[in-house]
Amino acid sequence: MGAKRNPSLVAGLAIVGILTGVFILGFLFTPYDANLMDLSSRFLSPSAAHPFGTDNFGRDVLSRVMIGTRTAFLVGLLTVLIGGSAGLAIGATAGYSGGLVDEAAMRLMDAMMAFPGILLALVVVTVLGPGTGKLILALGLMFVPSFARIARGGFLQYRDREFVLSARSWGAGPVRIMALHILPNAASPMIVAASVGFANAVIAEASLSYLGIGVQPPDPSWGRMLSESQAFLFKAPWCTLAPAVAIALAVLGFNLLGDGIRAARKGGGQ
Amino acid sequence: MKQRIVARLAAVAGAVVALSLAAPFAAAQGTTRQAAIKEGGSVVVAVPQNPDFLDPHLAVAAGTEEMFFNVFEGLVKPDDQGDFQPAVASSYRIAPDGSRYTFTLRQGVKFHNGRTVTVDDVKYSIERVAGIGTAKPLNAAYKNIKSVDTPDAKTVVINLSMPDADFLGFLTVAILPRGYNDQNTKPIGTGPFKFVEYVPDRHVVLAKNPDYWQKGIPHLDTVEFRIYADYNAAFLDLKAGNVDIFPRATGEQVEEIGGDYEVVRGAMNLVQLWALNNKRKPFDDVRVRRAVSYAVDPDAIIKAVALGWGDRLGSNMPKAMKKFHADGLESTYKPDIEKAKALLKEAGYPNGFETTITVPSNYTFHVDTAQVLADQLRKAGIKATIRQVEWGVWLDRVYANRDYDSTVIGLTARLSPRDFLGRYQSADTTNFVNYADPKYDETFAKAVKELDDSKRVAYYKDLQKILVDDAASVYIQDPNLIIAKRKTLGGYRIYPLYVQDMASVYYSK
Repeated sequence: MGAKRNPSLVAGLAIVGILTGVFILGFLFTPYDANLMDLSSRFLSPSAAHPFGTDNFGRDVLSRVMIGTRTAFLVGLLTVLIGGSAGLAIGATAGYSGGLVDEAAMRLMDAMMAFPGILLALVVVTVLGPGTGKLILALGLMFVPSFARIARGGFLQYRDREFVLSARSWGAGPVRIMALHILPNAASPMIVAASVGFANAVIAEASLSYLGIGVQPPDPSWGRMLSESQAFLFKAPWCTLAPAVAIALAVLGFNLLGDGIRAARKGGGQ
Repeated sequence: MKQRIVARLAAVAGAVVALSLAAPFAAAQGTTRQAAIKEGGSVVVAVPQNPDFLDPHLAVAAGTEEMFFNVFEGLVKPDDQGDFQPAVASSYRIAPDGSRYTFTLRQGVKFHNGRTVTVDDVKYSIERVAGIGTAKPLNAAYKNIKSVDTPDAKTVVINLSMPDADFLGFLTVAILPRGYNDQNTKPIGTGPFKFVEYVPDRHVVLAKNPDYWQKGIPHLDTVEFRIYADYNAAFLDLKAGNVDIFPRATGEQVEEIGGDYEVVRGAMNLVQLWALNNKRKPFDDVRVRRAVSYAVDPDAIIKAVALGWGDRLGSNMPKAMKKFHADGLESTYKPDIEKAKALLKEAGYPNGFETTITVPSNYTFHVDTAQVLADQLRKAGIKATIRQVEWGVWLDRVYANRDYDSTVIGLTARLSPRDFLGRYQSADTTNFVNYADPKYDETFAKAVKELDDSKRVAYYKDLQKILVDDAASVYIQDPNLIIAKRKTLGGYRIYPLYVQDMASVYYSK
């Protein structure tokens, strides 16, 4: 499974690795206070003191991108965690039980999926008010159906296999069977889905923050930085480029990683 | 009245994002280039919204008036100095006690359908908007009209229930042909331009009214108000040369405007303020309101958010209202963090406090202002969290239901001091800051009734002082209106109102 055989995995790991490094670094250190305004140094182009330049309030763009990475990753992680665990629980139960439970749960998921994700998030945020916590909750909800479908597929596939029947004959309860016997076998597509879901969560967070209902100012988020900087796109392109590149990298990285894992799993199975 | 002001507020807040209004620029240009007027031609004006109604008596959005100012006229119409000039009427007389307005009809004014305006049309129009003989007033501000009399073929007398020396501004309401029922689809007025077509989300097209009563204008053949939902796209269109007049440039965009275009700027007649909910803790304590007034540095906000393109305000009165503006109030609270902290300590907040600033998310200008505010307040130990809400939510929650701690918004009004200051009366429906002061109410009541001009002006100036003394809110600026226009266009006039007057615009040779 070397670089030649699985370039996606290597590239994905490299990009995600770098971003994770920035993410962790963001908790410990940023060159400047990301929210500190300095009106005397606004719109400085990239230099040694400000590698990514400064924005319209004289805030350091690099520091803001770093804190933005922190926000994006936290939102991505928690969203995948919420969506993934809820989706897994629903999908597993549905797939394993089959019958009416399956039918009811999956139709509910279909109904949620039929509702445009961003709209659902908009409704949640409008009712609960804006803020990062509520944004995570909204996005988490939005991601439940896709995880539930994937989990259901896996559990449906394995529930009548010999090893499951044998475990059942030994008297293992359904929860034990699902968690210990089926899950390890059905985990692979979930991991791929988590990686791709992470990328989608990053985009969704950026979109909602761009619309003004995600992360609240002055706290930086990639989406907010984009919406703030579009007014001076030509004057100070670095303010737009930095968060745009960050979003593109994150999405690319996690998608590559997902592809890579999928390919690796396939290769391993041969 | 409330509805109308909300709508104006909406449109004006919109204007602030990219901006809208007023200066003597046009006069100078008009004279220097007078000799080189080329008749004819067409212009494209970029606007950010669809008209709400084509019927001027139903329309409440300021963005509608911006376009249809060219189509409709009242007995009087506002000019670029903020005064009222006779229009459909040739002269007027106000009874000394302010209870009766008498107009003499201008002879030979024609509607766009060719019919000559009669006193019956005037009576019909005023009664229609005031709701006389119909179910209810189309606009609540006109319910003070008791009756409209037409003693002869060229005289109209408007009687008011309550004397009001400042009512003339309301008589700018459009005069419409009597018995014409398609006003909302094919509007007909008496203005310098005729309505041609309206395609939602695309444009409103107007054509020259060749029979306009004022000789020599308009110069242009057609005017197209092109509607851009995304105003950034409009700016790109300007850069591509497809737009002739762009009335809402931002400070940032100014530096990108060049080539065939030039920038014109003026005051906007708008009060941008950090509105404090006077009934919410801790802003219910005047010491806290004064403290935050010392903590905020409006000049830095103007520099940061408007790139310096704004005029510092001290009270709820823009400087364009020259006659009524109380000078010097902007230096009441000079930025002073120590004083702010001392006042906070006195009020029982030695360690500052936490509060929220709710801002409409679509208005970058206000959101940016809130960011700078939060940064300044932090220095005084106050932790302000910004909450962006959608515009509809803002109107409902903040403006109508007053459920907020503080907000940043721009307030506008008719060219009348009463309109600017009326909202601070304790019982006023638009008093969304919940300001309540008996002395203010009393002074306001006196100001409205006072018929002696200089006394009235003095009362209005007192009102502004009371507001600032009580620190009813933190007054920031009147953002400049920045207009980008093609260099070959002359005669553009900036109004202290939200209008685009195309009648005087021309291409120079």
